Amino acid sequence: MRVELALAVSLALLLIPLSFIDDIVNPSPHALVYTSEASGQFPSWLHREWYGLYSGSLLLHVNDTVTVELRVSGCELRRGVYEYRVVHYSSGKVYAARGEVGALTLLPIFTVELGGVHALQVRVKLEGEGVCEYQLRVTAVRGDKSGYARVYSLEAAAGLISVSAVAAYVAVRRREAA
Amino acid sequence: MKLLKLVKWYLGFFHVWAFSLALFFAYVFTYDRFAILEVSPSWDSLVDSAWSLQEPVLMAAHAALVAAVLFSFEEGEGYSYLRHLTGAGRLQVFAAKWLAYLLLTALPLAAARSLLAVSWDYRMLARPGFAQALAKLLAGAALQASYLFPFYAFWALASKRATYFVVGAFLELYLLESFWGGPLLVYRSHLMLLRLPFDPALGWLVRDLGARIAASLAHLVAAAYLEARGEVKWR
Repeated sequence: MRVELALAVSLALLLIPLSFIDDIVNPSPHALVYTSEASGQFPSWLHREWYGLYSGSLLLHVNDTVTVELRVSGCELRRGVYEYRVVHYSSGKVYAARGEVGALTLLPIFTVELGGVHALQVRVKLEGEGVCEYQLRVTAVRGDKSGYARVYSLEAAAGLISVSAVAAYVAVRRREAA
Repeated sequence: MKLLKLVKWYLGFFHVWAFSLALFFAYVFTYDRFAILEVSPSWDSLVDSAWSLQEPVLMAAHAALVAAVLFSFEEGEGYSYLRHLTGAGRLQVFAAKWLAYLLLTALPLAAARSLLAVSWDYRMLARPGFAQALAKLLAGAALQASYLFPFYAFWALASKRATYFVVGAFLELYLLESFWGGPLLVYRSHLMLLRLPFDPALGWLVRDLGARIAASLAHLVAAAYLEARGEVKWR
């Protein structure tokens, strides 16, 4: 029973990192890039108030990047401010940025430091004449995974060594028994 | 030393565990470790997002194989010995088989999903709701396994040979891809029943799967009848 358990553990050490390395080398295309688009009009009575344009949660991994693009059109924009907040759900770490809104605004690119679920939120405060229309595009792209690949290769090597150790032990015991 | 003998029997039978371990690795292989997904911020969603297109078919195929081991072979893989040891009746043995089947088929799936959730974000372990999410996941997997159990049990008991049963069950899975579709609705039931503890949408369940669940219960009664009667006549 102990041999079986050791074999199971070392197989897990070998096969799980190998399958994760496979996910790095052959990523599945439908989960490689995430895009979300939102568009609409600002209600004119909301001028000078914070107005939430986007809020959503994404599962992201280390080195992935999130780009947010905001277009405002159809109105005479006097002044505009955005607030961009990303909260890492499990650690509670907050990343926040503020800036001016123009006709086309590229919000700062967010690079993920801790893997996990992130809550994203974009809100704006606009002042101007007329009815403003906005278009918002959120894009999350897979980043560099070479660090993960190195760690998983080491793990797989450890697994391979322990599988061979268990196999050698079983072979010796069998020869003794025979 | 009846208890010791029982434990020995249990361990001997549970060499089928090795296959469950292989299936655990297969599930992990089909998931994407670096998927970028839209989720809601909770443990539930992390555990729920670990999903792949191959998973339902893998689980159903595994369930069919386990049912073949439990029901097709002569006196069900040593369960007569269990009856002899404990003095249990045939229906109690049927329940024991169901329990063993649940452990063998639902555990690898739940383990693979939770492994992926933990490797996505281990900090979630410290947050409340982790154990609850795992319990929900296990309950969902057990629900789907229990939905398939009566069909496979009955077919395995009623078919003349294990080969016939396994070929039939795999043909049914193959029909998923065809014009006729799989009669057991493996995909839909997998998606609905696994999510049921997370999001109890009973109305949808009754509308989409009501007839299949009723058929499943009818098969359960038939399989229990065959099992209680002992040897199947036409075998």
